[in-house]
Amino acid sequence: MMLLSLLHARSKTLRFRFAILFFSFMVLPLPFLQAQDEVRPLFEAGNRAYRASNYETAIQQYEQAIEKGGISHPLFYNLASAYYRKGHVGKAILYYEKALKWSPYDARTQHSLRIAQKKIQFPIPQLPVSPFASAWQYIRFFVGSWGLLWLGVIMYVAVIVLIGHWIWFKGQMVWRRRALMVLMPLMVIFLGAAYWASFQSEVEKKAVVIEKQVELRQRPAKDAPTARTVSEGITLEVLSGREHWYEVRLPNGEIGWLLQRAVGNV
Amino acid sequence: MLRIKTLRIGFLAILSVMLGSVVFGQRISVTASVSDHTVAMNESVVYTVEIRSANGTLPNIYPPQAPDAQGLEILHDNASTGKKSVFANGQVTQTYTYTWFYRPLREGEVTIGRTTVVIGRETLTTSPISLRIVGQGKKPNAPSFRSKSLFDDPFSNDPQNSVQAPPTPDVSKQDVFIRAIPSSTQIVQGEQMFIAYYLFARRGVEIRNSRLSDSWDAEGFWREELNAEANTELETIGGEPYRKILIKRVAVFPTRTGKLIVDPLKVQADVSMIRMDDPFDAFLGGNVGPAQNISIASEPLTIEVRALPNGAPAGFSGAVGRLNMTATLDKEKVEVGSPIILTIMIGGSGNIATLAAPQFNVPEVVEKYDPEVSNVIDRSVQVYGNKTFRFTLIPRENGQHTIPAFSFSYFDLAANAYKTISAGPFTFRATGTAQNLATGKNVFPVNDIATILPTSGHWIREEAIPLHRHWWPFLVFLIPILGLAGLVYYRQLQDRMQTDVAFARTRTAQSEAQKHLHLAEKLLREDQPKAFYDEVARAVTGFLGDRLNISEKGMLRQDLLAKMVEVGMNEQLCTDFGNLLESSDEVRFAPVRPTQEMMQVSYNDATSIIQRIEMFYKQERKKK
Repeated sequence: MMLLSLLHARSKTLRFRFAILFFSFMVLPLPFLQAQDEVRPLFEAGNRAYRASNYETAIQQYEQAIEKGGISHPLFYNLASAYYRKGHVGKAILYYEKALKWSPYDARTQHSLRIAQKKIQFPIPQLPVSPFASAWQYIRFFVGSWGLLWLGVIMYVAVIVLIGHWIWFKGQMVWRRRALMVLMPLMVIFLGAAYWASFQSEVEKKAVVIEKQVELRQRPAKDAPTARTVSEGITLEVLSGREHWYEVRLPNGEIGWLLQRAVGNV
Repeated sequence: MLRIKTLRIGFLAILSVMLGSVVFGQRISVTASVSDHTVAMNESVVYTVEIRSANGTLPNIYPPQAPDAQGLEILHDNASTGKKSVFANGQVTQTYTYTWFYRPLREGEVTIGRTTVVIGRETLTTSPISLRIVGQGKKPNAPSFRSKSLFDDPFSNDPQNSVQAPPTPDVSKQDVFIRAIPSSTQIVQGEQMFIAYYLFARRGVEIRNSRLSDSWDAEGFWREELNAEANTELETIGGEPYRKILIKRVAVFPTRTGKLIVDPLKVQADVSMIRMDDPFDAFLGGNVGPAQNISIASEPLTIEVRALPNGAPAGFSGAVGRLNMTATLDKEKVEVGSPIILTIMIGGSGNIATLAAPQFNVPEVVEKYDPEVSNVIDRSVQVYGNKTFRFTLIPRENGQHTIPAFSFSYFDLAANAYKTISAGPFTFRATGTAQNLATGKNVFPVNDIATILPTSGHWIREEAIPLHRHWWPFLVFLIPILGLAGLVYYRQLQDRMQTDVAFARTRTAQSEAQKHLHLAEKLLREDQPKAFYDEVARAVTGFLGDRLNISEKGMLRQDLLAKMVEVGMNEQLCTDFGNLLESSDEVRFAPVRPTQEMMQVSYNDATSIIQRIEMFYKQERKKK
């Protein structure tokens, strides 16, 4: 009776917890869904303005959509195209890069980005990317840190099951030893890659020069010697920040400091 | 006639008997010579090997190879050959010559190596020859073997540019020349015009190995080669018979106005003169002199190109000729995102190759891509054919789309007026939704960004928190570890349950007692007192026996009570235990039927005794 009553009490707690969880799943996405309802008409209004060659209005509509929490590849892509039509190469490249962040292998965006990059006044050559880095980028996008994690977890569970098998059925089994020898390194690789990809996503920061020309300085100071002039539209890697300055790496590997207001973060 | 033929055959028969009789008595000499021992860098070195039989005909000669020459580069591996036969003083003297041309590579002393000649079974070798190569313009004036009238490039004023030749019979401009014959010398911009190049060779001139020596150009013209059949015709020029050979036909279209110059066509050829002055040579069909490598060129042509008349319609892009245009859309209905092809074909006679694609507009929701362009041109007589532009259009939204009418303008030469041809409008319907966009075909404008995306796609929430910021994945790792620990524990438990009876009884005591109590509860509801008390007694005695590690068989109440006291259970518990068993026995063995209340009290007592025994053991464990 006591056990029954205990079970009864426990089931009540569980029911309560389930109720909270259900409520959370139902209620929490509501602001997100409401935001979508507000954002979609702005996106469509932007498209209408773009088609009427009213690019200024299109930009306003798209930017309002972003302010209201809209994030989507087409929204960034269309905003970039509107900026391109207005002749703002830097912002066009910035938003094409943002669009690529969500869909890095989209051929349309890649094409338009290439076209926009041709408008850069003084382009900076890109250092060649190693095949390993390209493959890693590919994995990061298509599998992602979460995908890698789940693959690692599958390996981990398989390893645990094999160890359990060893505990339950004692004795030497060749297949079990071989399976463990394969699965354990795979598990380490997948889990390590998952966390490495996760750290990289937080550490790697890209930015695009949005001012016509900006001086790359050797130190974060206005009176510091100028290393070179960087044109609008150049995509940079942000290494660190200090007050109003960013330490950046140019596509050719050159490192220097730029004013934060001169760049837009991807 | 018959008499002359008979005489010739008879003479040849006598000659062959004579030659055959002197073949073993012949003397053969092989000598090598060069055109000059001091050669300028921009000149050619003519190296000649002469094989002479002083008395008799020469047996088989294996053509010699060009000798190696340090500091010189051979121009052609194949030697120019010559043959000469002289009949004098009752003897036949034959001379074979092999000539090669070399180009200096450096200044200084250079040497042409030995040439080995195999004649019948004999092998003869020439001596090496040394030369001095000097810089351009540094060559001392020396008497040249070369005739002043040697025919090089008739349009070049640079005497150094000519090819050195051995002292051979002269080849004059009148012997071999090229003529460029234009269809007209006054045309309008874009008009088609033909130029035919003929090589004229006088009788007695033999031409071999002719080839273009320089690129031919016609600046300011679009050029299309026409088919040229190399037929030989006879033509009389100034009373002299010439062989006339068509070597090139070309259609040209001027792309700008003014006086435009068509370059001369330059040909390099090995030319030999056939001599008829010796009666014996004339009798044998002529003596072919040594080959001379010469350059022949046509006169440059000057074409006057007039501008097209004023009043060109808008959109005119320079098309001239007799042209027509057709335009077709490959389908009237298409899925959104699928391609539809607009084919525009411009055909006829004129400057087809340079035609620009007609301009037309498409609705904003239709993507227009650069056209695939193909030409089908007949070059047999004149440039005639068609140019096809295949435009790929992709609708990005559904509905009815219209491509407005467009036009193509050209200048009609026959009518001497501009003409405009129109096509369209074309209407097609796009069906389906934007989700059906063709994703496999990544075709985008060549020099422009692609069109915008009509749909917003999937909205994304705020940027996700990265994996390493979440704590719960560690829980995922912990759960299997806990499972593994549980498995280890369970395995050990199973092992102990199988080996330790006391432990097994203790572990199962509670569950066994609960089983009996559940059954007793059921019997209580069914009002079966004997069976109820039987289960109650088994629940408490079984539980106590398991806890005391005493087998149920042979378990006496007194023994149990004594053991309870022995292990230190309190007196009240022992008394309650004894009373419960006693009341159980009374009901089971006496005719008294207990009430429901009595049975409920006994059930509660049994539950209480089990709990108290369990509590006792817990306290005992704590004490330890």
